[in-house]
Amino acid sequence: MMIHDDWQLMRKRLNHDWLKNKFLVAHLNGFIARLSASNPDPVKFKEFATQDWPTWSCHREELADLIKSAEAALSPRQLLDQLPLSACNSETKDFLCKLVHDLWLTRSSIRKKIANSEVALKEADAYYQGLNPLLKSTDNIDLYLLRQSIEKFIKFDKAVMHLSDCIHQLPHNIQVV
Amino acid sequence: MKKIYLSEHSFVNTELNLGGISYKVVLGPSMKEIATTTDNLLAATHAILHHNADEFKKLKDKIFTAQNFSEKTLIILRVSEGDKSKLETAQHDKWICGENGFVAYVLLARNQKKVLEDNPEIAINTLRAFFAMTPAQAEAVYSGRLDECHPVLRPLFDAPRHFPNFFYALSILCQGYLTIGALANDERSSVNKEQSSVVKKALERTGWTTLYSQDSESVIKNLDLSTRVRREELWQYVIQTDSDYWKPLSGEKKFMENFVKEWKSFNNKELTNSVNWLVIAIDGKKSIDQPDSVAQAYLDIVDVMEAKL
Repeated sequence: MMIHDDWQLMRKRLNHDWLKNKFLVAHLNGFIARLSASNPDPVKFKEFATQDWPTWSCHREELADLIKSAEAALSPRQLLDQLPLSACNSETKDFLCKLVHDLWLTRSSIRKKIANSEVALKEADAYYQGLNPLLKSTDNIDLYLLRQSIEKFIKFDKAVMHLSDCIHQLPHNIQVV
Repeated sequence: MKKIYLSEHSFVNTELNLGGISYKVVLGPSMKEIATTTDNLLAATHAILHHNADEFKKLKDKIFTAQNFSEKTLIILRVSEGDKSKLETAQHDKWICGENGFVAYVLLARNQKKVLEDNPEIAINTLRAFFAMTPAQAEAVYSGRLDECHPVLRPLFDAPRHFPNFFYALSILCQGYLTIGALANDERSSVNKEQSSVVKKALERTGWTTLYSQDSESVIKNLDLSTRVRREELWQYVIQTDSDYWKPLSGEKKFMENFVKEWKSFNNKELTNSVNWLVIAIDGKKSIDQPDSVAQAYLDIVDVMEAKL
């Protein structure tokens, strides 16, 4: 089971550092701005298509894993594996693990937040897969075709932002009460 | 022969003199290098590493995917420096990996780097004791039984934590206590005692009232509390004097002191009457047989935590 600290670190790297700051703000937003510009630099388009755009494919599975592992990594039941509760006898520990997890699920809206994140990832990925053929042929980027699809890129941009917000809304600490 | 792995030890330098005892130092590259190879580390019995969250994560991944372990057990001492180290929220860890059940104990020495650097004599004695540590002693430290490890090492593992462990632990034990109480005293039981309003309120705050109303049968089955005898047995277990249930707290020498510190870190006020009663009862290994007081203590704890969020 991924423990809380590792999960928070993975979220920071994936969501904050890569998805939001790098992929979205530094690269995708700039690409969309260039598409709207009157005389964009073709080299920049090629750089985006070869270096930045494909990183989505590399990180998509990691994002899915991050979301999938959230319930286990954020559950207060892991406190039963840490001092002082790790000193409980096995029967008490077993009982409290189940109870604490079930109570947490009842109190929090964690499963709803996880489901929202999963839907947001699927939605963003669907936009990506639809747009990917336009940027696959990096030797001959068709600026006209890209510009025709600018609305779709903007929708993808919004979907990525929404995904990042959903992941950010998952708890930032272990919620005991 | 003990095989030791050292990494970037400014406090050891090359002047490691351990009273004539012979140790084989395997090798000591930086943590960055460990990220690419763990062979030397996996050949050791003891290792001392400096805390760096990112690099430690890589190291953990490497160990979990490694196949060749020369030793059955590796004891890692993870030393941190400043006050604001992330290790304050971390815990001792135990990794069991590989087909042969290789075990690595990761024991945290919080905020100890400066102490060791400033006091070479303490550092040498500490190192000597650490290198003599057996897997059984590492297991004891991991499980919180510090009295079973060498006295020189105890201050290393007993450094103050700012993570509210006792605060969290008490609230979890209260959740369990209130739930068992609710089931032991419900309409199916021989006791069938009506819940007071404070107990009802506390159960609502734990989430129990909602959980139980959704599907009571599967909830009690999941908790293995299907029979009345079992529920009443468990109730006796949690209320009796010196119960094992409260031992993770009552067995801690500095429970009262640490709990009060943690309480004040949330809320710079005195303990409420109910929390004070509960903490004294646990510390004194007395019977915890007043559900209303436990319920009120739980509500007070929740209020303090929520106010902080």
